[in-house]
Amino acid sequence: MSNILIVDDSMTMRQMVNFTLTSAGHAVTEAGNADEALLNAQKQRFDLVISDVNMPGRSGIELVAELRKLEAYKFVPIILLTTESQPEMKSKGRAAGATGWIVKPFDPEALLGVLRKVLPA
Amino acid sequence: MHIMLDDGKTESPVKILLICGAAVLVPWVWGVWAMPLWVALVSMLFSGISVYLIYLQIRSLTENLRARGAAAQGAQERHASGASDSAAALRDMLGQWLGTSQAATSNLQQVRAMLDEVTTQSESAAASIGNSFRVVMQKTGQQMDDALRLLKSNSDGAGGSTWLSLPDFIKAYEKQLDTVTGRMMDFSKASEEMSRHQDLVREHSLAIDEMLDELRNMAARIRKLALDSTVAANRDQSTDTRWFIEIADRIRETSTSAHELTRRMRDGLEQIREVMGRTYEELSKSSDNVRMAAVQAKVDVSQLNIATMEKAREVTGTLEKITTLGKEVRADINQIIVAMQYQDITHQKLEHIKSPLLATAAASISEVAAKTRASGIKPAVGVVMETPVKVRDDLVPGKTKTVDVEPF
Repeated sequence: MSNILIVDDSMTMRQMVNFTLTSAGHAVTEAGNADEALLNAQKQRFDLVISDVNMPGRSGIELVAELRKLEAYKFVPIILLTTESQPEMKSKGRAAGATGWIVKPFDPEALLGVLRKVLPA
Repeated sequence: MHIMLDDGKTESPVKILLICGAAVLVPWVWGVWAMPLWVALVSMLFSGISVYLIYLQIRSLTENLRARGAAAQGAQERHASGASDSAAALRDMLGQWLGTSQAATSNLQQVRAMLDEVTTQSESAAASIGNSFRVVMQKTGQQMDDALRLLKSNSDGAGGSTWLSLPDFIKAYEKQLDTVTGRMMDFSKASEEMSRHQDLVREHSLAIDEMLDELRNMAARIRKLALDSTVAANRDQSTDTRWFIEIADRIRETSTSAHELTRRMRDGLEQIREVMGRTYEELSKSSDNVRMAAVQAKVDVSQLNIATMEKAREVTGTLEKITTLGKEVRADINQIIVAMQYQDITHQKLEHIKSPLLATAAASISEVAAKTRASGIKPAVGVVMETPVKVRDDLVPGKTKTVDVEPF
C-alpha cells in the first residue's frame, strides 16, 4: 500500500482518482491547488504525487518544479494528469521534473498500471 | 406668360418678339429701297417666319431652364426632408441597440447564473455518484472477500490458528475419518490376534491339564508306593522300620498335598478357561461389530464426501460467477469513471465559457450600452427585444432536489 497525494482543482476528478486508488488499496490525500499540495507535502512524505496541470494559482508544472526543490521529493514519482496533450506542454512537464504524463480522461486500469510501473515494488 | 432667364428675371413674349424681329430685319432693311417690291415683301414674310421660329426656340429653352430649376428646388427640398428622416432612423436604431444590449446583458447574466447552477448541480451529482460507487464497491468487495475466504486457506489467522478452505476441510475430515476407521480396523485385527492368542492359551492350558493329570497320577503312584513300602517294612523284622515308616508317611502326605494342589490348579484352570471363553466370545462380537462399523463408516463417509465435494464444487462455481460479476461490475464502474471524467471536462469547458468569455461579452455589451446611454440617445419605446430565457425547472435553485444524470 502506498501513500499518494492527488492535486486537482476539480472535486469530481479528485474523487475519481481517489476511488480508483483506494479500491486498489492505496492511501490517498487530496489537495485542491498547488499551495495546498505543497503544505501537505511538507507535513508528510508521499510515495507518489498525481497532479493536474491547469489549476487556479500555480500550475501543475510549477508545482512539480517546487516539489523537486524539496529534498524529500527529489526522487518521488510525480505524474501529471491533464487534458493537455501538446508535445510542448509535455516537454515543459518533463523539464520541470515530472515522471509521467497521463491524458484525461484516464482509464482506471491504465492508471493503476502506470502506478505499478513507477512505484517501488 | 413670362420667360425666366438665367439670372432669375422674367421678360414678356412681345418684347422678346420685337427684339428678335429687330435683330433679323436691321441688317438688311437699309437696302429695301434698292430691291423690287415683291422681293421686299417675300423677304419680310420669311423674316417674320424666322422671327417666330426663333421665338419658339427661345421659349422652349426657357421652359427647359425653368423645369430644371424647379427640379433642382424639389431635389433640394427632398434632400432637406431626407436628412431629417435619417437622423430619426439613426436614433431609433441606436435606441434599439441600447435596449437590445441591455436585454443581452441581462440574458448573459441569466446564462451565467444558469451555468453556475448547472456546474454546481453536475458537480454535486458527480460527487454523489462517486460516493455511492465508493460505498457499493466497498460492500461488493467485502462480499467477494468473504465468499472467497471460504475457498481459500488462511494461515495468518489470529492467534496463529489456521483456517481451512471448504475443500481443504473436507479433505482433512476425510483423512481424519480414514485414520479413525483405520484404527478401528487395526483394533479389529488386534482382536482377531487376541483370539488367536486365546486359542494358543487354551491349547497350553489343555497341555497343562494333561500335565496335571500326569502329576496326579504320579502322586497317586507315589502314595501307593509309600503304602507298599510301609507294608514291606512292617513285614521285614530285621531292620529298623520306624524311620522308614515315618519317611513313607511323609511321602504319602506330600503326595496327598500334591494331589490336592493339582485339583485346585485344575479348578483354577477351568475358571480361567471359562473366563477366556466368555472374553473370546465378547471379543469376537466386538471385533465383528467394529469391522462392520468401520466398513460401513468408510462407505458412508465416501458417499458423504462425494456429496460434500459436489456441493463444494457448486459453491466454487457460484463464487466464480460472483467473481466474474464483480469483474464486470468493476469494468462498468471504470466506464462510469471515464464518463464522469468527460462530464468533468465538459464542466470545466463550461466554466471556461462562463468566465472569462461570457464575462468579457457581458462587460463589452455593458460598456457599449453605457456609451450609448451617455450619448444622450434615449431608447425608442417598444423596440427593446426582450428574449425571455426559459430556465429548466430542475436547474432552479431550491425548486427540486433531484439531479439530472441523463447526460451520462
